[in-house]
Amino acid sequence: MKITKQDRIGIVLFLAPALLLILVFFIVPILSVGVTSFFKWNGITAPEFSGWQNYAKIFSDKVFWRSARNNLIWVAGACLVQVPLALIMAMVLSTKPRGWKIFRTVYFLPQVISGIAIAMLWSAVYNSEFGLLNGLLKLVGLGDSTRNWLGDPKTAFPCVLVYGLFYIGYFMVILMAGISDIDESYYEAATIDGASRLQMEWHITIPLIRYSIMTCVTLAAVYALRTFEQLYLLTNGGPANRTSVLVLYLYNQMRNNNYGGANASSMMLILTGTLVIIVVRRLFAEKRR
Amino acid sequence: MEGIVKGKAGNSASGVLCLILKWVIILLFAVYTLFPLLWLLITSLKTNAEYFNNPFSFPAVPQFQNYINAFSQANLGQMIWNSVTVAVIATAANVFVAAMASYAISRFDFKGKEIFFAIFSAGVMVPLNALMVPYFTIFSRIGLLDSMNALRILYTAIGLPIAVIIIRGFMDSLPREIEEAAYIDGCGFFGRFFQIILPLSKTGLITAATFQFITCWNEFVYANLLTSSPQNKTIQIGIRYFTNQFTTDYVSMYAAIIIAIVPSVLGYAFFQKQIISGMTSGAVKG
Amino acid sequence: MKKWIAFSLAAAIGVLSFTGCSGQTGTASGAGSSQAGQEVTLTFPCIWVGSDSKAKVFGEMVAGFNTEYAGKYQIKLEEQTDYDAYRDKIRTLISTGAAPDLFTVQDFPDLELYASSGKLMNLTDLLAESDMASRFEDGIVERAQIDGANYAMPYESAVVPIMYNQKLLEEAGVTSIPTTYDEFWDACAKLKAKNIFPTTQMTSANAWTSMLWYSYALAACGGADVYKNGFDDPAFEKAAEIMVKLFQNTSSDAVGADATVVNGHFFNERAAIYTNGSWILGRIKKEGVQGLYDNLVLAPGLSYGGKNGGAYISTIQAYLVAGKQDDPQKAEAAKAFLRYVSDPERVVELANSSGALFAIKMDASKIADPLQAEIVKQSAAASFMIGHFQGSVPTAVANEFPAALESLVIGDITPAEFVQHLKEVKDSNS
Repeated sequence: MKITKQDRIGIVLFLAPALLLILVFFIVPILSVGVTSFFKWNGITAPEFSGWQNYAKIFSDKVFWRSARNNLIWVAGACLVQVPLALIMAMVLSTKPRGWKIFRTVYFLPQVISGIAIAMLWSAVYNSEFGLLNGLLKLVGLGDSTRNWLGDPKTAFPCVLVYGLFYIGYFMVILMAGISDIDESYYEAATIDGASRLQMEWHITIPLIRYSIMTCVTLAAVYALRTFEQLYLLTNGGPANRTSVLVLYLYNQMRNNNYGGANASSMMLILTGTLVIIVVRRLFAEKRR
Repeated sequence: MEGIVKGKAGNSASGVLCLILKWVIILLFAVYTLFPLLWLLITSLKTNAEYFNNPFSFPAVPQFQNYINAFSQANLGQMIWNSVTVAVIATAANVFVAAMASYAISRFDFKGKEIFFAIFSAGVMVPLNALMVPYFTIFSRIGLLDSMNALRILYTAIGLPIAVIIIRGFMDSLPREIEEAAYIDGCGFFGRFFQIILPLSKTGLITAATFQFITCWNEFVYANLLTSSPQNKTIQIGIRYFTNQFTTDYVSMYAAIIIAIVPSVLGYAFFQKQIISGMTSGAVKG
Repeated sequence: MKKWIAFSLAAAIGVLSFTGCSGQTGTASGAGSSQAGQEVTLTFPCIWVGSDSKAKVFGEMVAGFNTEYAGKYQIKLEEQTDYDAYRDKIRTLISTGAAPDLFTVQDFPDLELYASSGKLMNLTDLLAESDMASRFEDGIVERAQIDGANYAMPYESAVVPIMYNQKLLEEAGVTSIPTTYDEFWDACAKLKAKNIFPTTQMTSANAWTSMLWYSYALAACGGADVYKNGFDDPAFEKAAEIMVKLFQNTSSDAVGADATVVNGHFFNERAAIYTNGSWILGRIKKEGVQGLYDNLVLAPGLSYGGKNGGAYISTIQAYLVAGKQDDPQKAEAAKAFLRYVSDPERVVELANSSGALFAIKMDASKIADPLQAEIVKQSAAASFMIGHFQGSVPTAVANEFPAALESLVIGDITPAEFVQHLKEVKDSNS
């Protein structure tokens, strides 16, 4: 299929609106963020040029590196735990067990509940005095391992991670939509050949929804890098920055009226994220067409 | 598919095991995801004193007036309506613009298309909190401060990266052959978009719409920054109506949160229903 | 391909010239001067709305002003409840254009920053008017000056006593309210033996109540000039040692606890000793267990090594600020409003309805709530008044305090390293 002249006009016309919005709301603001990342700026008075100083400062900050490390662990968890879990749930629900429509809505519920409420709930669950988790442990005779889960430097980050990774609603929606597009005749043919359910999922479903899986992995990685609200509300990075992440780090710089530093951190985040998107697409690209 | 599973389950021991495992997974997850909602429902019926004493107790007397409080004090009705109109318009515009861009990138091979995709999708990484000054400047320049149109335009834009990633993913999976026949029949660029690709990408569009709708519904920072009159406020501002400088009226806030969930769950269920009808109207992947 | 590039560039240039860069000046609302005789409207993005305890009476005050000045001045309140979002908005407004006509600022360092923009109205003359000057507590107006000028009117103040639950103390066998840290630790040991949390500590958000405890420890160790002396004063390290000990005398959930946890413990008589501003009294009455309010005994700060006892924490926590106006009538309107809301009679009413206290002189006998009146009396009789830590150090240090405190109490760092760290934060952000 050759690209005709009409196609060429069409492509320009179709890219134009998105391009315009992206220019105004992303590229120009990012440029301004990029420029001010080389300035010492408190957000109010005139910025002073300071070269690479903001970058040097964040690179020599232990909290920045701890935040970056937490982000990377989160990305790994999102790609290796969250998306596979969402895939399993999507495949299970796509077999349409009794009441599956209700479950599909139920699984999505946490995404529509305001983050404030979810954070308040989990901080109460992990609380050491009246928390549900400690109560449960005492009930099953594990009273020794009770602790202040979010206040203990050893357990705080794992606890935050667990709470974050088990909400799979978004990815399940994408994967179920992908599965719903598969032609049932594939399964019928496989059943006649005597394939087991697991074989069918492995050999039919997964290859056919690889684009949806790629979308999920991309989004999961990106969301993991952008994580902010739930941590801000749940631990605010504590105890002693053990649960800090990059966006929280840059938010704190903003609160300190250090806009130069915050913008340098933003640039690092944008660069890392773009890199991650490219890597994910490369990883999946082999399997395309 | 249902038939397949039932048949399997009836036949072998491994089938039974599979079935049990399946239901264990389903129910475990249901408990995990329903728990926050149940907790929220119960807590929203407590008094603040009861909540402070123990976040997991049941209310001695259900405090239905928390809901009345939430509704009357924060004027939630108007706010929900504002959020609905903002979210619906910003979702429709966003998905349409993203679908056009995805069509151009996904269905045509032209030089630099991956660069366009990178430009479109890189925005997904931008920490939006850091852009308050530029966004505020833009809207004050075009004279759209304190107007819901500002939110409609902004939300359409900030959701674009994710929508393009999702919709392009779906469009990529459509086989090239389906357009070729139309092409030979003389169907042009626009005809193929509206008559073939758009209908076939329905599940992708709906998925993107789901994401976008929820994003619009939950957005707070810019709703607060760009509007100031009561008639332009959205539901997320309503939820925070109960958090003050030194004290928070938690139970009323939780009631407001429950109220705010209802329209978004309805929206979600509506979108997902469209996917089912898509499922039966014939599948094309392969 | 060339077409693409040309198109993108054209679009980019168009957009760039359209938005330009930020930081231009202009007036936010209704530029240009108004005709004489025409009503002047000022907008006031305000946090004293919604379920805030000052909302009702402050709203009535604004309505009263609008009636009194009908046809001349009009104040329009813009409701803002979430304080962090409010702060973001004010800062963005000042950064991109003009300050709002009227607004409030919580912390002095923020006020200094905003004043450096040159977009705040100079209120020095207004506050020096003989009628105005006599309204305020001694020295408060001077302390709010930046380079000798007032850019804000001090309004609400946080006056913070230490609150003891007498009933729990008696249960534990503590017969008198401690006045020294030695007596205090003794009381803590007795409470602990009875399975009562001696104190309430928290580290979430701004670590509010623990920040107040640290402020009291600083006052005891370093006296009235401790903030002036800076981090080289050994009091900062001694006070950090006190914090370590306080966290051994509190609930197990203190690290990471927020205000709901802390209030939950004290309101339900699980914890015996607590610090917070006067505004909490109303909630103790409403949300505390039966009789809690009547069991409370209030006291000033403790002494350390026989010195500096009887201090009281008092910090301005709301400055009323006006944006600079080109239009003299608008400036007059803002000044008229500031005169109106600082009227002592009206302030007493606001104090009585909300539990808050103010920078405006008040007669304790006019305060209806007995404990609130007690705070006014005690603070007037205090050996010295001192600001709290958060309001007395640069913003970056105040923001770093919670994480540094966590490091300190979980044993990552020693008290000396704690002070060193805060000092480094201060130096690297100045």
